[in-house]
Amino acid sequence: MKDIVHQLDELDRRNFLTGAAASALGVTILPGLAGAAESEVIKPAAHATAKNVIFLYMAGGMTHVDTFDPKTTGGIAGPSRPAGTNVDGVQLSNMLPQLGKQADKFAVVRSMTTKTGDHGGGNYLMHTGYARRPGTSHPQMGSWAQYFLGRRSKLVPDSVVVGGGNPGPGFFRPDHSPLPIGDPNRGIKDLLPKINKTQFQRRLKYAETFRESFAKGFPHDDVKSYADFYEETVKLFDSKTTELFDINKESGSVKNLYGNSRFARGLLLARRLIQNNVRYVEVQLGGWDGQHGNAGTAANRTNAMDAPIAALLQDLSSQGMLDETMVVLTTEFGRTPRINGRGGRDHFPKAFSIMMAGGGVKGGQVIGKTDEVASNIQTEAYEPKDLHTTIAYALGLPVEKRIHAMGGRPFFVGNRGKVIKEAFGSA
Amino acid sequence: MYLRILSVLGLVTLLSLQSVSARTWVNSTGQPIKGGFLELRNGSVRIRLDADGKVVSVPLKVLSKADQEFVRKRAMTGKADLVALAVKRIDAAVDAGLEKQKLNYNENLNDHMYLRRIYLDLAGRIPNYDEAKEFLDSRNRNKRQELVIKLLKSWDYASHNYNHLAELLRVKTTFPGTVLRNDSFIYWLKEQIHTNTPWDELVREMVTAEGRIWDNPAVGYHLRDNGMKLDHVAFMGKVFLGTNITCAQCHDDPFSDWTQYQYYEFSAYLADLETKGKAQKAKMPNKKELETYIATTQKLDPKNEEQKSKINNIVGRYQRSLQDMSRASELAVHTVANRSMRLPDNYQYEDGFPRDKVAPWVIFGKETGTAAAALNPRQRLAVWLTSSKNERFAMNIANRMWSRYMGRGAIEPLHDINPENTLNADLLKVLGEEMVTLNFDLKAFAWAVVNTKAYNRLATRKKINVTEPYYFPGPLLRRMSSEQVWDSLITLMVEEPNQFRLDSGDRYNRLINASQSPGSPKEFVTRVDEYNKFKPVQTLVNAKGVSIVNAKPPKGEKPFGQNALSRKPTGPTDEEMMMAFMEAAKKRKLLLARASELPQPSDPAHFLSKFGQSDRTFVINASSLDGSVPQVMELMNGYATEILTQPGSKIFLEMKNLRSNFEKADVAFMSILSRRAIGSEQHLLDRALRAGGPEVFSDLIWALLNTPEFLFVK
Repeated sequence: MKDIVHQLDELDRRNFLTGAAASALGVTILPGLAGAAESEVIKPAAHATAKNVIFLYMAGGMTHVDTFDPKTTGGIAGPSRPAGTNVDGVQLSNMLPQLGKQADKFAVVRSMTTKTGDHGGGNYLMHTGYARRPGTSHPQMGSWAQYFLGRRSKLVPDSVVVGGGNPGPGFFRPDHSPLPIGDPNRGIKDLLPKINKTQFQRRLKYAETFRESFAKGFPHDDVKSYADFYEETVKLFDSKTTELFDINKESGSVKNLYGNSRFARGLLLARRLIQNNVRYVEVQLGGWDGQHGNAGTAANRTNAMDAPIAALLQDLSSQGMLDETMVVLTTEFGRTPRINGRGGRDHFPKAFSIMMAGGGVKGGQVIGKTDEVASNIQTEAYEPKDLHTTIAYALGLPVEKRIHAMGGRPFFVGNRGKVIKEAFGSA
Repeated sequence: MYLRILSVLGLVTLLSLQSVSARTWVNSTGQPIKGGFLELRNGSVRIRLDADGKVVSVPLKVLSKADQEFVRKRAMTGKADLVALAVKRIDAAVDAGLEKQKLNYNENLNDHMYLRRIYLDLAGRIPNYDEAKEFLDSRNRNKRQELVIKLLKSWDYASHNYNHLAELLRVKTTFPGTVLRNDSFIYWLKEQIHTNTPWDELVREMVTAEGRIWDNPAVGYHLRDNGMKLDHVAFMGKVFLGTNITCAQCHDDPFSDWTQYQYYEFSAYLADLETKGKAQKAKMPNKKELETYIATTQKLDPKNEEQKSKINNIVGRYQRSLQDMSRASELAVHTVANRSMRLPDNYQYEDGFPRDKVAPWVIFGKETGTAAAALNPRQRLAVWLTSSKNERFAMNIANRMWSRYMGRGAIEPLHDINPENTLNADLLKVLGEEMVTLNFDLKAFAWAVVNTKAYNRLATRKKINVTEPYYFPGPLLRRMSSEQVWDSLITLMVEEPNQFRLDSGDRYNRLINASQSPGSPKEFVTRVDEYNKFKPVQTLVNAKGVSIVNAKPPKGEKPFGQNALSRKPTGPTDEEMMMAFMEAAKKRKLLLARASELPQPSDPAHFLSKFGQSDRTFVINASSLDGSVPQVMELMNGYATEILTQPGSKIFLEMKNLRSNFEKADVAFMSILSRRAIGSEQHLLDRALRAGGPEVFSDLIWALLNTPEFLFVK
């Protein structure tokens, strides 16, 4: 599974960014008139433990055996061995040494299961909590949060996706879209005007003059809204806004802590954005589809995720942000414990692992258990919709509230899953 | 099969509607033709033959005097009397509503406003500079009527109205979940609009169509909802009857009268409809011959072991390609005999048991006509649906058309109308009746609406919310639809906005239809190669069949501007600028064709999506006229603006080639806003143009584009 933004060439990328996705920026003044579901702002429930979410998506199907559910069984363990962590009794694969040092901060769930074994369907399900159906388009969690809790900031969007591949606002209004950022090093530079400042200012001045007579003749709300959109857009081009997205403003030591890879920089941007009032940031790490030669894929990918995610947890913790920021690491499905004839692992929806930290999650624990061949869940199993319900619950969203969209059909945030209660330290 | 159904229906039509009058025509050779009059077009009469339902075109002048007389009465211009009567009745209904509320009509429209509005409403785009000048300079007292007729006959009209229908029918370029392209249906639908097929006839053709897309393009209607029959029924109710029965699909609707049982009864008309079947058998050429051909063309020796396996691989590749292609033929509308509709497994009401069989029955009124017994369920449905006695059918389309031109239906929401419970009940009734009187002739109906008093008034200056009553003292102020904005930009960019059109789909169908005779190995290989290399953009062609990506500006001509003398001898020529302009568009992957010809729905990053084009998924009125930051970014900063402000665009060249600053300013204002500059605008223009410099044209175009006035229909 490659991420979309990387596949696009320079021109396409700019078009994409200035595109529907940019709906996420600026304020929408108009109340909804179209068929899209109307926002209904409420207060988060009293049990809310998280204000923000960083959603780490391991695209392609992360092998659970080589990460969070290591085994010693022959023919299954593959290249990894169980290794101790900074928490007694909690073991991870020895390919995640840095994360092992932060194990007190996160919980591992080893009893995840799903019915969907294809990348597209699995990806959709894991991002929305709903199975993909023709003609229906479900929102991602950040859009749900915005729908219920309202938009936090006038300038930055409520949700951002770094690295692409997110289903978007679904049946909500376009201003509930996550803002996609292709290259975390570039931020939103691609959105800026391509002409020099003097000429841009001159054009704006002309437009202002030409606008007067119509604005006077038609004191109409829709006409006024456009004037406001112009004002907002010009503000977005302001350096103060672009700085919020600019990780080059971070100190050298912080940048070093995370590392130089695109994924690492994406995590750093995620932290910076959360600090600047963004509620929901997704960062993708692709390349997990290791059907041919698992050992290489596993080593390469675990290496790519290990230190940067450990850095993120450390950084969030030291800045005092971890308590209110939930970090979730997930994937569309696991990979077969048994190594196949090509030395790889195939798709395995039956059992897989995820990780959760912060935002009320009790760290240093393992939830759920698979048997010694990592194939059969021996405890209560959780599906993608349960994870969604759990995130929604932590954010204080009304998981039992029915909303109507797409011609009056009922939908629920989390798709009426169950909350993974152990994550919050309650059995 | 398809023709047989048509002729059966044709008969029913005659009985129930008397719309297509059968007639025996006589041409100059004395040979009689029996058939119904469809329309007069380019001096030829289109006649639908009674014998087989085929449409033939006969030059008017070869027909007898009596026939010519008959046609003149019935052709568009001949409908003037009927239209005038409709206008009178609609005016009276609006008058009465306004009087009751002691309200007056808005101010009259001046020529500038009228011009812009009528172009946007009938042609779907703003007028270009020449068109504007022609109209404004004309002293003909009948010029507004003449313009209306001209636009109704234009391809612009077809393009614009296609957008409305395509949104209603949620048309997509490829059928969801398949690779099969829908070009034939899209092309067919535009043709129907252009030739003004009456609405009832059009709907009947779609509902009763059978076959594969290459047999009968009208099947595109059912194929759109392949695999979701019950939803398809709900759409049908909304789109053709203005009736929302969606909720009853899963439970009795607590807010209206529909029960789940009724939903299944209505759906039962489609019980035997199947949209997916077995793929047609894919035909390969003789394998030996194919191997020999490949060996020869690839210079491989079949006796050499290694090369032999290469040949086999290549043959295998063609086999697999053919299999892929043959999957396209799975999509077909056909009737599965004796298949009934059954209640769902979880049915829980007392009027039936789960999995009970349900017989077809209509959701209101009753089936009429004795012909019903002879028809299959889908034909019965079509007859009932489109009957002039089914007043919701007429009311629905009339109300939709009214809302299209007035910014709001006589009753809202359009997809769920309740005629008893509306402010403008009389108006709605009159609109429905006139639709029937005009025999579902949509052009004539449009003609009537744009001639009403209400239409010919200034838009209401203040916002009226959906919940507020409105009695039509004029249209609402409307933001242009996404397609109107785009098509207007195209009008500013190129000389002939309609130059590139989506082709008929024949070429693509010929490639993908795997069941046809494979021909010689060479023909077969060529065809499969061509299919594998097929690019969607190839379907966008000009009249000569040249794809938009290969087209070049006309050589040696000076198509732009009136005064080429002002060109500096040292600078680039107009032709060079146009060349650079087209290259720039290509580089940005902008297809400079009208919205109706582009991939549908547009890519989420495309201009059209940002301005609210429907995504054509689950909601019929999914398009939006709301403003947003991305729209503003697009107009300030997007590719379309970059291209438009570049030397070589139509408006840029026109400005450049006119001598006086006054004329240049006039081009800019007239082209973009269809009006002249006033007061402070004039001063600014003077100053800017006097300062000169290569950037000033771009800056002015940019600034005019970035005024909300550009986006609204006054």
